[in-house]
Amino acid sequence: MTDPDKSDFVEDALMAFRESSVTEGPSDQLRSLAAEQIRSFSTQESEKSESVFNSRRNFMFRVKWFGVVTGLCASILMAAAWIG
Amino acid sequence: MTDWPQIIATYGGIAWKTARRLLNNDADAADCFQETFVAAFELSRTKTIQNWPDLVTRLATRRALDRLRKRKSDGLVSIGLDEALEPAGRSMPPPAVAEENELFHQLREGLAELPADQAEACCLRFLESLSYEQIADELDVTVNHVGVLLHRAKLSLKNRLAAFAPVSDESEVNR
Repeated sequence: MTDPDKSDFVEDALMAFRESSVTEGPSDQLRSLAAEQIRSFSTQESEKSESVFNSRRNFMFRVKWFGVVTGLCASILMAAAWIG
Repeated sequence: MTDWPQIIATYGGIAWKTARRLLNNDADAADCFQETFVAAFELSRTKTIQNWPDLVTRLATRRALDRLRKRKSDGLVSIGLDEALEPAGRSMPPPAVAEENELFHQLREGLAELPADQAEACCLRFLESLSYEQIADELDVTVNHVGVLLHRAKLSLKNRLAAFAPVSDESEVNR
């Protein structure tokens, strides 16, 4: 089996690769583009969670309203039965 | 609340350098840069980020390697020679520059061929100078496993780069 510790030329190559020059960056435009993208994700996320909250609230409101109406009907029926 | 413009301003350079070196192409590096910060944003919603530089390095490395692999599988072989790099701070004769560019080309190809975890560990260790412990933290593996990943990665790269090995090393590779 080859001993990887002896394969120094691989590390040398990687070292040379690491030291190679890289184009200057990122540009200001790219930075602001990334920040804008995250802001839009974040806005979408909060709008989504707000809409989920609103739909749940509406559902609970309907359940509560249905309960009140049902209770009222039951009371009227009981009163009618008692009178009759 | 995370100040994203500030995070991008502070760690953007790390992401850019990592992506640009591996991809050797400005357009791909720009895409990778944005993907890195979107991934960081998604991660930050589920957990508190303790170490931004390491996280950005890992995310940029992973995305750049994914892109490198995709380019290779799509048959876009121009992984390295389309935009030749000048060695930093050195003036070299054209044949040496060409040879070095070919070496970097083969390195990119070699990294694209490695299994994802080996390639990532190799880049984090040798290109980003992270310690074994930092790599273990980032990859969520044990320190010993990092050693195994690096060992295997170096063996594969050694075969890939055999043509560039000094004569004594080359004879060992061929054995």
